Amino acid sequence: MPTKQPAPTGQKPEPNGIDPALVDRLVRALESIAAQGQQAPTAVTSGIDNHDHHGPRPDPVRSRAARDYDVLRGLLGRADAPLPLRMHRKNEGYDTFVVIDDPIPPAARTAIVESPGDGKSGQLTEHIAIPDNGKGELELDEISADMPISRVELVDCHDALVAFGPSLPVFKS
Amino acid sequence: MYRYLARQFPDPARIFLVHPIQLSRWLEVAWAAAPQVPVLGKSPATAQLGSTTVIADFDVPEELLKTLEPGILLNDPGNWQQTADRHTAPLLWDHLVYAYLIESTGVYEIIAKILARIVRGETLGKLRPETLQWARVMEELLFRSPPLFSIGGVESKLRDDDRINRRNAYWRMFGFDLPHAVPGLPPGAAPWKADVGNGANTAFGDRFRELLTQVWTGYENKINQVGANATDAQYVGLLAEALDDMLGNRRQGGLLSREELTYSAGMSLCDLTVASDTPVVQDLQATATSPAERLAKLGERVGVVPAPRARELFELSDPMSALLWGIELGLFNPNAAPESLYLPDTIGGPPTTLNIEVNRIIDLWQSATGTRIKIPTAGTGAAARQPAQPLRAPVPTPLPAPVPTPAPTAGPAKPAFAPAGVNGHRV
Repeated sequence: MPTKQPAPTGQKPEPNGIDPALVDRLVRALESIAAQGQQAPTAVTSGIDNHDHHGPRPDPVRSRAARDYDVLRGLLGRADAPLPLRMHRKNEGYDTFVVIDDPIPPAARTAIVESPGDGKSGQLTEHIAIPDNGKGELELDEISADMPISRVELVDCHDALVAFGPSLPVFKS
Repeated sequence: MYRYLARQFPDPARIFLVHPIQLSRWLEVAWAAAPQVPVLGKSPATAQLGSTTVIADFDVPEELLKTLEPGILLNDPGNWQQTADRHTAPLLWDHLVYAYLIESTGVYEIIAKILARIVRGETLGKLRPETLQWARVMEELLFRSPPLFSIGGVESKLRDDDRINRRNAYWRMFGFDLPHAVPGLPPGAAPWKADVGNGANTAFGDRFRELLTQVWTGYENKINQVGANATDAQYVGLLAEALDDMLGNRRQGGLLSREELTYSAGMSLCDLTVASDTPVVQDLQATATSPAERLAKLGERVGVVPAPRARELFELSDPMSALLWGIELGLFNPNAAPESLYLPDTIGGPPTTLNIEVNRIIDLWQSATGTRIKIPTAGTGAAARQPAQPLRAPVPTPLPAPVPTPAPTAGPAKPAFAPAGVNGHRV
């Protein structure tokens, strides 16, 4: 025969003592984590870039500073840093090129050429596939001969910096 | 600079087989090629040198430079060819802090003692021809007046002692003295501080330590999204900017650029001497697995003890050089990316090379200086955590106990890397 259990006795439950602000921060943090997990693949930014980008988009400002630091290590000739390469400019008719003088690292796939441009254009950046003809000539499209080049980077198929070039003044024939 | 050239050879030690005049000329072409450095950050090229024209102001005109090319042949270092490659890819010389850290190890004084023994007698035993070539290069490039009108001509009747000249540059730039005395100077004498006036960055050490502390706070809290977070990226930026301004003040108009090139190049030859088992290291039975251990063994042969923390100083020299250039380029100023010092490119992503190197600098700096930087910020009272690692970095062999000696220098400033009571002194 079942016996009647006495009703539980004791202290009343404490009122909820969690700080509402803390709850709010916790919820926002969890939402942020969930959003990162569900973020769509990053759009491919270059027509020649055929690899997939998954996961959160890198912070552009931090990425740039980290990339600058990598170039700096290469400039100091660090053994494990991106390679400094010699380059020069060349013109053929209306076509203007950056020519890589040193051997190109085999991993390099794309060249990123940056120029401050001129008063009309503003800053320009061109992504150019490394030609596989062994010539190392990068044909520029928007950056004209009368615009200086501030930097040339060679990146691999994962966008990792493998080499870089000099700043090149305005082309004079 | 010479380390980059050395790496072009099949064996870096072969750089010591190149005639010293060729190495001296190479420094000249490397200086002239500096404007090719790509633009970093938001500053114009070479603005970090204090002047965008400093290279052109002091370089040898190109046509004159061509009259005697370095002509270095990587596969035949004993020869010369007018049309040989200049081996000057876009390069920047190491920051002055590299020279300071390398010289702080005591390597310069130990090499001086070895060279003195080699050129004065036969007390070091039989030496191979390669070692004698090394001795010739080092004596010509580090221990005699530089060639006339060269970029390395930072010694004259007005400043005739290179040891004092370098200390003057270190004092002005960092407010640091070397942890060992200048041979021959009476205790307390500090002629490198004469005529400096207020032009010395005596607050550099404190600001830099504070920057590392703040960066560590950011590093420790980089994935903290719920607890108290003391990270303040803007304050990190302000500290970086203060250091940028401080160092920039000493460089106005291009001051100290030639000295920096010359001293960092000279110290790189000392660094290269112990970076591997070079012929002189082999001949003096000082082969080992790290530069600090080779240096300690070389020191034993001539009765000089290197800095007790030479290991950390060698390891600090490369990343510190890059970090200080980064600071002077304004990469971490408030309007740039101060948080890139401790945050990866993507939240939760792998650390960048910058993150890894800065964390390494923190470890090595606190170990070398004996000042704890990694102080846990999370938790208070009973919940406060103890530091997760000891103050000092691990070493393969116990360090010798320091022998107390009189303070090597006068003035309020102390060497950044105390204790080093026996560093550079005979025992």
